[in-house]
Parts: sequence; C-alpha cells; structure tokens
Amino acid sequence: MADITHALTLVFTFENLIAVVLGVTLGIVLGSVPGITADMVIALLVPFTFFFNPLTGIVALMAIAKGGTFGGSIPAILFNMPGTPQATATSLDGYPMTRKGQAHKALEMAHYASTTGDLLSDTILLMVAAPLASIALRIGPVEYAMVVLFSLVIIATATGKYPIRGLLAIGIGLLLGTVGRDDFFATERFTFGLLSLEDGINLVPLLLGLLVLSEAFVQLRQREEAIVPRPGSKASLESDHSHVTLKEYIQNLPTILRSGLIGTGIGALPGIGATVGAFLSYEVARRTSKRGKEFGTGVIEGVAAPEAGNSAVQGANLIPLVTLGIPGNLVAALLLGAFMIHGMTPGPFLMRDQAHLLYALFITLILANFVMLFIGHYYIKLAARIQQLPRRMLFPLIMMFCTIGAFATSHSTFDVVLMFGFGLFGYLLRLARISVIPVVIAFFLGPLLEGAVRRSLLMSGGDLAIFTQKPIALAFLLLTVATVLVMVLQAVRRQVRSVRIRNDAARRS
Amino acid sequence: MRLKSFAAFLFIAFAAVAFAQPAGYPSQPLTFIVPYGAGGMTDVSSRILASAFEARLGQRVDVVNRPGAGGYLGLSEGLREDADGHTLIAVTTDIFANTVLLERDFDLASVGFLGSFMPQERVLFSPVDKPWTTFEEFVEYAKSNRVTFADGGALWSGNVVKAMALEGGLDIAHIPFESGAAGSAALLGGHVDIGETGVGTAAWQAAKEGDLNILTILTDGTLEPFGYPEVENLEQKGYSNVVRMYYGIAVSGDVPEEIRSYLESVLQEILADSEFVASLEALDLTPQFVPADDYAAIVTTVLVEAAGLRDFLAE
Repeated sequence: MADITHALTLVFTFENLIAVVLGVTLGIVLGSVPGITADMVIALLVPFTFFFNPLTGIVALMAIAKGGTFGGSIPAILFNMPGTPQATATSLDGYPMTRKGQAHKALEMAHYASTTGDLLSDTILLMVAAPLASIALRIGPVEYAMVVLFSLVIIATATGKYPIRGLLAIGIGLLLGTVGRDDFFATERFTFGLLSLEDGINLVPLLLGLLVLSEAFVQLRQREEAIVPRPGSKASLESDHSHVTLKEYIQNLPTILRSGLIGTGIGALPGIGATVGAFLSYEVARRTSKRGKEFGTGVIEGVAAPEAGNSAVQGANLIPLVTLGIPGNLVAALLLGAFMIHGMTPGPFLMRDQAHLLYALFITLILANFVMLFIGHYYIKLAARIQQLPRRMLFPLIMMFCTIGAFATSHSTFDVVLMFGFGLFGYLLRLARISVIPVVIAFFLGPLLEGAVRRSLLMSGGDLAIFTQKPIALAFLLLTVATVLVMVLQAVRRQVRSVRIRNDAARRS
Repeated sequence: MRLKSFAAFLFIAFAAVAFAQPAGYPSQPLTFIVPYGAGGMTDVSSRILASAFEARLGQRVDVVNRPGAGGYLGLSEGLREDADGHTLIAVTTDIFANTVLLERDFDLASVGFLGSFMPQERVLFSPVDKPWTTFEEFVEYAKSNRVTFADGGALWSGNVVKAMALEGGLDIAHIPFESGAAGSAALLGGHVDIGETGVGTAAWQAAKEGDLNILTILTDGTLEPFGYPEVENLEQKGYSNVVRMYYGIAVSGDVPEEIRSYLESVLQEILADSEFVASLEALDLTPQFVPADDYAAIVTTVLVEAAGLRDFLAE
C-alpha cells in the first residue's frame, strides 16, 4: 500500500504530466500521418528521453505509443489508408462509414473504443501483471504455434466472397514472408544475393506500399469529383453531425470489452502484435454479432472491435517486459533499453525492488487514457479540415511521408524502392480484385508460425503428436479445426442452396 | 635523477601526443552504428557509451541501429562510409566469428579498432526442476537422454555448445530462438532443458533469484565478480571450444591514425570515469578497457578459433 501512495507522488509531478500530454498529442498527430508509424517516432525520440528522469522518459514513450495507435485509425477511416499497421482492420468498416456520411461517428467510436480497450488492459496490468506473466510463460513454442495457426485461420477464413482469391492473397503473403535467411540454418531464401534482403522484407515498406500507396493509386485513378466530398454533401465532414450516443456506446460495450480482453491476451504473448489483435477482435465480433453479415459495409461494431483490440495489446505488451524483462514488441524493446540506460533492469527484481516506480508507470498509463480522450476529441475536429483537401494535393504529401517513413526505419534507400514496388504490386492486386490485407497478415504471421512449428518439432524430435500433448496447444488446435469445419460447412451449405436455386429456376422455366 | 626526469618528460610528451585532439576534428556530428536491434545489450551499452563520447567530443553522437545478417550488415555499412572518423561502429567478437561461421567476404585489415570496453560472460542455464543441478550431472544425463538447448540467437555460442555435444557424446537438440529474450522465456517457462545467454539478461536475473541453475560458462572466464566463484568455465571442464565475448568499437581501417588513436584515448578516458563504470555495473555489466592492439589480437584469435570450430562441426 505504501508503494501505491509513493507511486502517486511520482505520478503527479509537473514533468510527468507534461510528458503525458505531449506524448499523447505527438502520438495522435504523427500516427495519423500515413507513412509515419508510432514505432518510428518512439525509436527516434528514445535518446531525448535520457534527459528526463526514468519514469517521465518511459511514460513519454508509452504515451506516444498510445496516441499513435488511435491516431492511425484517422486516415484509415477517412481515406482507407491506415496510419499505423494496427489500424488496418479499422478501415474495413471505418471507410465505408465515411462514404455513408458517418465519418465523424466512426472517428468518435474509434476514439472511445481505443480508450476503453487501453484502460482495460492497463487496469489488468496494474492488478494482475505478475500472475499473468507466469501464465504467459507457459506458452512455449508448441502452444505459440497453435495460437498463431488459429489466428491465421480465423483471419484467413474471413476472405469474403471470393475464397480462392483470399487464399491466393494468403499464399502471396506467406511467400513474401519466407524471404530472408531462415532462422535455423541461415539458408538464404529469395535474397538474390542482396544483403538488404537477408533479414527479410521489412514490414514498413511492405505495409506502406501495399496498403497506403496502392490505395492512393486506386483513388487517384477515380474521378476527383467523386472522391472529394463537396462541402454540404452527405459525405462531407462539415455536414456530418453524426455522433456516438451514450446508448450506442453501451450497446457496443460488450464488443469493446471482449475485444479488449482478446487484445490483452494477445499482448501478453511476445511477438504477435497489435495488428493481429485488431484483426482477431474484428473477426470474433463479426462472427458473434447479429449484424455480422453487414460487416464491411460500415457497421459501427466493426470499428469498435479492432480499435479496442489494438489498444489493449499496447498495455499488455508491458507485462512480459516488466515482470520478466522480455520485450514482446519493438516498443517494449525500446523501453527495455530506456529502462536499462536509467540503471534499471526489467525482470523479476524490478517488481520487487522498484514496485513504486512500476505502479507509478501503470497509473500514469491509465491517466494517459483520459488525456487521450480529451485531446482526441479536438483532433478529430481538426481532421475534418484535412479531409477537405483535394486528393491531388493530399496524396503527394502522403507519399512524401511514406517515403520518409520507409527510409527512416532502417536508414535504407533500398526500403524506399521496395515500398514503391509494393505500391505498384498492391495496385495490380487490387485491379485483380485480390484484397491486399490478407497478404500483409500472412506476411507476418507466416514466419511466426514457421518458427514456432520448427522449434516445436525440434523439441519433440520430429514428432507431430507434440501439438496434441500439451493442453493449451491442443485447445487451440481444436479451435482451429472447429473454425475450419464451420467454414467448410458454410461453404457447402451455400453451394447446396445455390444449386437448389438454380434447379428451381430451371424447373420453372 | 636525470634519467627519471627524462623518463618523466618522455612520458608526458608521449601522453600529450596520445591525447592530442587532431585539429578540426570532429567537424560534424558522429554516427554510431549498432549492428543489432534496439533494446539489446549491444544497443544499450552503446547508447550509454555514445553520451559519454558526446560529452568529450563536443559533437552529437547519433546511435543508428542497423541490425541484420548476424551483425554483418551494420559492420559492412560502417566500413563503407567515408573514412573521416565520423562513423563509429559498435562491434562484438560475435560479429567477427559470424563472418567466419557464415563464410562471408571479410578482411580484418579493413577494420581499425578503438578498443574493447566490455567483456561479457556467456552462461549456460537450466531450469531448476530438472533431474540435474550441476554440469557433471547434466552431462551424465545427456549421454543417454535427449535434451533440448535454447540458443538465444548468438551463433557462436550455439556452435560452441554443438561442439561440446560432439566432443562429449551428448544428445543435445539445438533449438534456435530469435533473441536472448526469447531464449530466456523458453528457459523460464521450462520449455527447454538448457539455454545460453549473457550476464545481465533476464535469465541472469532469474538465476540470481534462484529460479534458474547456472551450469557453466561458455567463455574462458569466471563468475567470481558476481559472487559465483565456484562455477567452472567450459575450458576448465575439459572442452576445447569456448566463446570469447568482448564488446568494442571500430572504425574503418582507412581512418587516419591520428584520429583513430585520439578516439582510442577518449575511450580509455571514458572507461576510467567512475560514474560511467558505475552506470554499467548497475546492470551487472563489467566495463573494462582493452587497448586497440590487444583487441585486434583477440579478434584475430577469434577468427582462427571460429574457423576451427566451423571445420570441426563440418566433419
């Protein structure tokens, strides 16, 4: 208890509060620019945090991460261009809502869902970090493989009306994911002798190219009058007074909380990430909602679920870091560095020796959510102005930021070239009506799955049965099988129905 | 008497030369390339070092992460930069060993060293609930039972363990993990039988708490400074391949000697600074200055040993 009161004194310092406000603002603003991801900003700002005391420095970085996760949903909703990878799922229903003239509502729901999901995982972090971490430790390569398989299948089976094209997209994604030296024998795969490809294709150029640039190309090809909402027209934010009512928020709360829990679970496992958290939440919401069939046409639940899911992952990613010293994603890794530079090694000791500091961190994170509520509210209004810029001015700006972003992550001009290449490739895929989103998902789940499966088989000496021998793994394996069965049954039923309709029509004629 | 003052004069003159800052250097901010990802041991220690350099050089030192290819990506990029002394490269003996183990195009003459700032012990850990507590017991068990080994991404250490298995007739299944952190997680979760990471990592912390057993160290050093004088290293156990882990700084071999030796003297100065040393010791790291020539000799030995290891494993 004394720890908590001590923590509170650390939290409410001038320095700290400024750091939170600035961090959240920076995160939201920069996250809302496609091309600049929150990870980039954090990586660039880590050295600056050395001037602050450890708590403030770390808080600033976390605030940016939070802001960025919400900020990325803004262009996802307005332009179908996610500003950060984890906002990709938000565009699935967010952009259709914009086209229906409900952009403001979508932004608000994204905002509220983000904040709620974040709050949920931060609270869980505060209360049960240590026990949750030891549960997470039980997830070894075998269990991890089944969790990833399940995620892949769930997201893969959501390919909509053209399953073959969806599978094609996944195949492409998996193939792209194999590029690089393999983890186990350092064999070069598809590297063409290029040093820059030895560690695989970087996520950022691929993402920016496939999702943002290709979208820009698609939209630029359309006639401008059809895209820029005329002031006063239905789709213009100026006339868009759609709001999220309290009743609507409460109606969607079960979805938000469930997505928040999914996100927290995913976040406690290193490596999987907020993007998958968002998609999983979206998919689960789609399958369990009464309006499931309408997802993709602009259903508000379809915005609430992924936003709650991705934000919850952020808070939970701290769990393995703080309790075991194991970073689960890039932000956590940077935080690990920041902790150590201030002389603290995250791990079992930190919880014991510096409990007050950790409590202060968690409380500040919760506080940051309320700050985000406040700042986001006004930023959304600002975002309206941006939407009014004609595309021919906006898109070159976006492309410029993408170029900067692609270069900045690893100081590599190769990545910039790669990004434009993927932009073109993504555009071609879309012309062929192949969705690029499964490509991206499969791209980063594939290597995770491969690594985990290979490790599992190495552990078992090549025996596949190991996946049925560990309880948690078995559980996810069964879930996967069930999902596939359901999908097959649905497809069969659809086929039978369409055959019956054709027969009826033939009989009548 | 006169000999002494002459000697003193020579010493001062020599020292003055060694510490003299070359005219006009540094003329712009420096780049410090870290060939590993952010948050890792090399990254963290390099960042601490970078701020120490900044203070003494009067110019900003920007740390840039260029991970990839076992450190080769960052190293080769740093060597390709202009040899004007404004690009520093964080190196480890591991990177050099990797050039041999992965059979890359590499010429030691292309590298100019500033020196080493930190040796590190690589520790072989084991979860506590296993049918062994000491290294000898483990060896006995592994002779007739299959055991799994978590390799925390350090290629050289992993290969040394493979060689150990070959030499000792042990049945060790080698399971590569992407990082020391992932390997630590596997160890702590009890998913593997043994694992290797360095001092100062999460696994190390757990071992201090008693949640992991320390079996041996893979270097030819000792854990005495950390309170484990009884832990024998691999050489003492009778194995012929060990790891030598030294973190250091390098520049392109074409950098003028004047600048290189100046930087070396700055590094030495930094490592004599008690505050700096304390900040690393707080993380259970052991900063220690090794002059450039000695470090170069260590690296040469490393290259030879790695070649021997590679050939041994190839048979």
